[in-house]
Amino acid sequence: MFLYVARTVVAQREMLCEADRHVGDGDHGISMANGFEAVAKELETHEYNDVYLVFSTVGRTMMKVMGGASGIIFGLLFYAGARNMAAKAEIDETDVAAIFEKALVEIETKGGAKPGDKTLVDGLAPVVQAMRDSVVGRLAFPAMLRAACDAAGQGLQASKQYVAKVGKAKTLGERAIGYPDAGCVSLSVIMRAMSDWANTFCI
Amino acid sequence: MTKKAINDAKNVVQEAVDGFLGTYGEYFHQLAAVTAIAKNHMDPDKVGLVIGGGSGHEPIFLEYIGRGYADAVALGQIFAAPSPDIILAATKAADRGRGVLYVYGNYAGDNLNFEMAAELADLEGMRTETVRVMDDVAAAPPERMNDRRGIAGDFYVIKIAGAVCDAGLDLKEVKRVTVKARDNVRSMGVAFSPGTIPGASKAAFELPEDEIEIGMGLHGEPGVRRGKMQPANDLVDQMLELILPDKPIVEGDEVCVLVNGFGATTRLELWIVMRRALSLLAEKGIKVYHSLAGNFATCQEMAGFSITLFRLDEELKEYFDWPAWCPAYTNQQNRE
Repeated sequence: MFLYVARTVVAQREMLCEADRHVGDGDHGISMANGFEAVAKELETHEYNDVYLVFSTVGRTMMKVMGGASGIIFGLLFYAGARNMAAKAEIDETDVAAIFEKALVEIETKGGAKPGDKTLVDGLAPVVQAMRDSVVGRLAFPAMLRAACDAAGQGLQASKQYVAKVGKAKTLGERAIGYPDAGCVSLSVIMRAMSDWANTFCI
Repeated sequence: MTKKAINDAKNVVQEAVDGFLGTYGEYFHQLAAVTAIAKNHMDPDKVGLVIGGGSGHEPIFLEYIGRGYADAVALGQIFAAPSPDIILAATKAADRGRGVLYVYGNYAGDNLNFEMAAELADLEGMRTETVRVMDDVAAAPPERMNDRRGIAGDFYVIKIAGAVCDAGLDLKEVKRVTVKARDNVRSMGVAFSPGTIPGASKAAFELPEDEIEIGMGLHGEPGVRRGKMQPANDLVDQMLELILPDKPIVEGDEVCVLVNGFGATTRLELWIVMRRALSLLAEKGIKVYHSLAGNFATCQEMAGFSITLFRLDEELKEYFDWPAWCPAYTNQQNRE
């Protein structure tokens, strides 16, 4: 699945840079593409029997390659919920939801951001809620990811109206309104890729 | 685009390290596969000191390595924090079993990457402690000290950290004294014109031709007061007026003074600034134990300067005087 995600992100590199141009340095897309290129290379050259190890490897690789605060934040998305977990060859919907939930908590704590601050959290919080609801509603993996993907999209739209409280865009004040947070855009791309893969291959 | 003596912009950090090690290779080497350097010889049985941050601010952090200074330095790309793997490699090189102290500037990127490195180091059985430099008085009010950026105050905090490690103190004591140093440093800068990232076509930040900004940070972060250019004496007076009450530093106190150039400002100007700083401090009955002018924490070709005051007590004075050498500074000079 991650190889599919990786290729999608790399292909969207320009779009991600464009998203970042108004509220950041314009290099977010390059950073994300570099991160996922390294992820793809890492995954293609190793065998894995442990799903948690795949997640944590994706996270650690992104941290190593991307740099800056966002390298850690995006790396934590996959690493926070997977580190120190006992090896499992297969994980279920509850496990996946738990990974993203742990990620949200850690990103909020370490990044110092809450919903409404115009950060990745604006997309991630709805994703986690959607996953929680899916587990309660006993949705299967493909349906859960589709719900999470929709939630990420809604979070993205909502982030347009916020003034940034954290990160580089924080100096822009009102000028950031109308533009989504670049991290939310990336998250949407990632969630859509995960959802597409699951809905194609996991039926 | 500013003319810079570079080759491919992508390689600036590695090429600078190559040139630096070509000169100081007798004392330092690069660690395998990462942009980090370490001392060739490390005395056994001491706490290790690892510093680091974004490149582009030379001499900091690259050149603050040596006897009574850092044991290893983790170098990020220009204005970017080093990744956890770079910091971890530096940690391994510096660790001699008594733990490692991290000293770096308080910035989101550095904080997150060093924290992750500390976690990874812990997994490998290495103890670490952290002291973040937060000397920029302009960045946040005293109630939000933890939001303050680290600027030229790094100079004093790293000197003290290097000294206590060299003196053989244990990790807890090393941290205690370094924290005390950190808590007694206050700085403020004024920016005249921006620096640029090598290879970039526009400046790292904006500042109109005829304007200056008091309190602007080392990457162009917003300051407290933007206005027209003024005589040096007026700038120094305003800056000290903001720095002194912050700790506060008062009559009878003893301080070290650092007038730091941001890169493009000439030594002629730094001495003119120093003149006013020293006379104002004398007027206020504040004793100056040591003073220094030069480029110690820069932002490429940014023009402007910062003033740093380091308030001493007997313990801090002892460690400030501790004999040390690094390419950026040494107190080992026979003057006569």
